[in-house]
Amino acid sequence: MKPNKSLGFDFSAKIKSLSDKTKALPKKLKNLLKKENFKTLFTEKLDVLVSALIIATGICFIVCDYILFKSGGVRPYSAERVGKFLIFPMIMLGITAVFAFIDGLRKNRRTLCERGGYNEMANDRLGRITKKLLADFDLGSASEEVKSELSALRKKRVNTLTVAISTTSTAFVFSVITLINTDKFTVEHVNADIARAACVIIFASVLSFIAWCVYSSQCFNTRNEERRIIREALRENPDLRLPKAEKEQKGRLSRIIESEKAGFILKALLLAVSLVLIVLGIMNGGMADVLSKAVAICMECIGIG
Amino acid sequence: MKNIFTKIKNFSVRHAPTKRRLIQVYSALLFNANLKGYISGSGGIFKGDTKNFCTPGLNCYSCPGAITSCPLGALQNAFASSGKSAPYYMLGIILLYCVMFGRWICGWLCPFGLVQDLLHKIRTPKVKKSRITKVLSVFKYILLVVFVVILPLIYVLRDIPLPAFCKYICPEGTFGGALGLLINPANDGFFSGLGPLFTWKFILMISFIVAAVFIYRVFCRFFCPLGAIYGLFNKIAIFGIKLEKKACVDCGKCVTACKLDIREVGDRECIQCGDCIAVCPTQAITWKGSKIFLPKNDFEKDTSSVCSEDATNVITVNNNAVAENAAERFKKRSRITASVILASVLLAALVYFNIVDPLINKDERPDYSDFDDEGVDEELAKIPFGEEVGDRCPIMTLDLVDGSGSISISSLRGKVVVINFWGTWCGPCKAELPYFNRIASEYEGEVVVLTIHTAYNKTSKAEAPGYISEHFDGSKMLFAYDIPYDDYSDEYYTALGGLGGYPMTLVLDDRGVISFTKQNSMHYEELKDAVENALNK
Repeated sequence: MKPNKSLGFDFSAKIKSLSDKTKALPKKLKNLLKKENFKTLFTEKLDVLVSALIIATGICFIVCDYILFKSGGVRPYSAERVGKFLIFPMIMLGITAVFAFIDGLRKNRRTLCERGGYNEMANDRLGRITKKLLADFDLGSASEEVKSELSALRKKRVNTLTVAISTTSTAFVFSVITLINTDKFTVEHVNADIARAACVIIFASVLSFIAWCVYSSQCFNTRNEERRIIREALRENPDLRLPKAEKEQKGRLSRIIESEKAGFILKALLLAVSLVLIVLGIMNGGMADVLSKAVAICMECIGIG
Repeated sequence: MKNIFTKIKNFSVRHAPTKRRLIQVYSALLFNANLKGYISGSGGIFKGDTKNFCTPGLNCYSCPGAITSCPLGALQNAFASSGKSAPYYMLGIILLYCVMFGRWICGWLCPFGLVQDLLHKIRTPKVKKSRITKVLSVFKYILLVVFVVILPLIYVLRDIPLPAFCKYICPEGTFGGALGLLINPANDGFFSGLGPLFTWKFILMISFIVAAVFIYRVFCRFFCPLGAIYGLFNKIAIFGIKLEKKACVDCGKCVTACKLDIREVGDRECIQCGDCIAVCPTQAITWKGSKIFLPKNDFEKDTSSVCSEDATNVITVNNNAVAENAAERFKKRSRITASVILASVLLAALVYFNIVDPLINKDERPDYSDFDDEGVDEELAKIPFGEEVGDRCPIMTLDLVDGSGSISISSLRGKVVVINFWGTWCGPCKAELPYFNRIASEYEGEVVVLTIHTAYNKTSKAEAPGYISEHFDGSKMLFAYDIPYDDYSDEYYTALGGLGGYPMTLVLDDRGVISFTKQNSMHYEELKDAVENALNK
């Protein structure tokens, strides 16, 4: 019989559990305000807090920026006006970054103690090892407890991934909207517009970055946990191990690059392309452009102008 | 006394520079061979044909010592000029470096990498790599896309060249360019231009410098777009480091020993410093692509095979000692030859750029006595011609851009004259021109605004009429061309104290005496104040 590898996702059951959770939300919030729960939030569930902060900061930033636009655009650009609207999300971003950093440090320290030494490859290798273990593991025949534990871990990871993807895509869309807002980019206000665009893009990038940091940290922890659960289950019942899966095939590009002959052809081709581009550049005046720029002091490049 | 010598000897043995450090210092000196630019001369930067080419590493071309262009700055400028011609040249140059060396350049040739390496040698607690730094290393790709590609391309649509990364982030420009220029007393005029942008860039530079003490190669790992581009080609590059997968036992010692956020040796984060070669227990890490880096074992193999083909009785395959000696001799000979050639090249460059070149291209200021100014009253005639405030503005006849004739400053006497030097290739010049246009309209009849376009650059000179008719059709400003002085500068610009930085603005009072001068961008309010001052004199 083919082993059942699904983790038992039932759509109707999921909706039911969601509605149950929503109903229980006021009670949970009430509990959250208790002192001991606060402590748990800052010590054990910091990643959840950071995720929540990311979403809140993003929403806050978008609202503030919208108000800034609506109240007469960005011009005349002044620190006072931008500060008035953006200081709040900026502070929130700072707090989020600090929490994310503490979260990373805390987990990193724990890992250091557990592994007895830091290995930079840990995360990648751990991912590979866990995936391999999972591939060789007969999940269908495993106990309900193991199934539910693994399912919860995966759900946790998927949730953080959803946050990361949604934050990144929102940030990307928002950056694109800012950049293609052509009416705002004019010759007279080049610095103001660039500063604003850079402010939006950097903010969006930092927000996405924090989200992916949290996801990375979540991956590391859940995979570690998954590995432990699977190994324990295998120790208790060795029959759960499936026959080894076939060795993973390498990517086509990797094979091309690593094969000596094809690699040589690829390098030669790229060299030829680069030389052709240089010749074309010399012919179309690109080289003269480089010289004309380089013989004059670029005041703005060095920060004087 | 003997004890001191022994201590010095021991110190020098302990702190002997590695081969990598020597090559880094060598390349930094070679790329910045115009040492006289920092201390003497008439200020400004090096102007010569070698600036047609780019250094492989990050080295600002506005640095007084630089004899070549910075590939990142030139790439942004190429994108910024893509409205008129495709950036083939810079893409070709970057691709060539990528295919040849990859990030080996970052580890061995980049002058800013050397600065960071030296700063990191200061004995302080260090921040080790972690998952946080690993994720942070992606940030340089964001900077590459946003600041090097998207922003310059967006501003092409507005006809403004904007090197966004150089302008808002690059600490090398502030460190080598701004500070390099400001330490030369001949450039004291630049102090007047320091503003909020300099404050921002200076703070950023200081932050990078401080961070480099605690975090290894902080700029290269998290912020350098050039390293990001090179890193993508690390696996394809002809020179560099390689990992023999068959010999690798996956012990992870190389990755643990590496200070950068690599996942495996030679990946996109690897700067190919070669420190991992020593820690590899199976010697799976080697240099690829060149006999220069031929490891001893390989050489023995090669020598043995050659000997066996000769099949003589004198040397046999088993004669390892002879082969080892031959290998040692070969290595020594190669090392000496390479050192002599490299030292000669550096010496020749230093001599040429600091001694020979200044003799050929004598830095001559125009002789102000040549400027003919007839018909002035005796009192005015007593004021000497010059470039400073209070001097009489030198007179020259310049051709008008519309081809309708020529114009001389002496013909404008009786009105306040604003002279602005600009070029279509210069972003800040174009950005401030509307302010001059506004002044010309607001003070019509009292003030004449004369904008003088660069002439040594024939391409941009040809673009000027089109740009003017597109943006300033019906303007009250006068548009003229400068007179080419040599291949890299103009005569009137040089006569009025130009050091190579554009835009430059002068305000003359109604007698033709300079009342204001600035070699930098101007805001409307600043310009208006200068004009008002000249009017009230």
